[in-house]
Amino acid sequence: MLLSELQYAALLSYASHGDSASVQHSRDIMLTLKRDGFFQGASNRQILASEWVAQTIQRNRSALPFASFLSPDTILVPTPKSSLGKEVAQVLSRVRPLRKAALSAPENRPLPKEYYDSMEVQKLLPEPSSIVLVDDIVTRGSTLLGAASRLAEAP
Amino acid sequence: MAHHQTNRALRPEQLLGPLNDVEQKYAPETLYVAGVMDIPLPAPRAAIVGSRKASPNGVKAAEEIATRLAKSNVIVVSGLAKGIDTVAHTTTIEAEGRTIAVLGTPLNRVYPRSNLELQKTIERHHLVISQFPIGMPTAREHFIFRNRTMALISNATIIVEAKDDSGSLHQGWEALRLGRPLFVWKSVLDDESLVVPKKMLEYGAMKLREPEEVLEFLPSQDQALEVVQ
Repeated sequence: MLLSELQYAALLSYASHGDSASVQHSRDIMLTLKRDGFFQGASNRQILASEWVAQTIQRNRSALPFASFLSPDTILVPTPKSSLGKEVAQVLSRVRPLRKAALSAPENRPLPKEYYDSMEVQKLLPEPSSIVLVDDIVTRGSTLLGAASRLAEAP
Repeated sequence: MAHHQTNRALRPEQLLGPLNDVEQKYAPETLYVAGVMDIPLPAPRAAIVGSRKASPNGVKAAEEIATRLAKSNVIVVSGLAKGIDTVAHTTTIEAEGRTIAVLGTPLNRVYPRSNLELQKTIERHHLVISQFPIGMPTAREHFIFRNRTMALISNATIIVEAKDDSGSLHQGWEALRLGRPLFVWKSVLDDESLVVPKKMLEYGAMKLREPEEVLEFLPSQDQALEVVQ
């Protein structure tokens, strides 16, 4: 079964094309997130992008949109990377590599079906009431649709 | 801006800013730099790498890409090797751009010998970087370490021409590991005899059709992204 719709919440939204200063700023943030670089926080302290994202969501978790996604019994599942490397928690893992979407031209981005075919559910979850998939950058949502479809059919 | 000659040993963080764990993995402890560029390095920086035995088409592609990047104020990084690297540096200099040479030898050595003048020019007007201390004998694998370091120094890497065993492919894998954009020039991917570059597409590399496509994946000059904590 291939899902065609998913609800999502995002901390930031990304303007992908163009030359304006705000588009370049948005691109700088995206590239920093992608390589997990550093942001400049209070009193010039450097903070790892992934830590800033985690802290900011944590601080806002009782506010919308996060409040409707993060209940006490929600299980967070990381979306597999395009490579076959080790994951934080191997609930879902890549069994076949797949070209990266965020960095490829729209016509070359893999379809949800290709993501679905590239992943397997590794571990049985203790019957969670809700699962939230987590990813760094969502472009068309194909990775998430593929991953959610895999999870939905897990026994 | 006063450009004074720099010749010093730096920790990679002094040259590049803070590094995450993935970036620290293969980062050399010390980088020896000689030249006139600001420290920490200005951005954006893109590496153009490829075969030592460059074909006429490869040379043409390297010239087009280097010219386009230089004119957009992108610092062109390369390895001072024969072939594509040499074209990348010389074209950038001719286009009045800025260039960085990342050496596989210590700063006081030149390889290949034919690039002696080029290395002197880059040291006088741009920047030369080596991870190898003066006096260290050069070994074959140093050129591969150099390619990894070049991936770390560059915001993006472009492979213009390559064989399946070439050093620029090591750099490509390292760029992917670092989560940096990796571009492979179209003709490398259209070459039926090459397997590795096509494999790289599955791991996140992008096919480069026009030089300006690189610009959409480079950070701006202003590196400090401020956030509220």
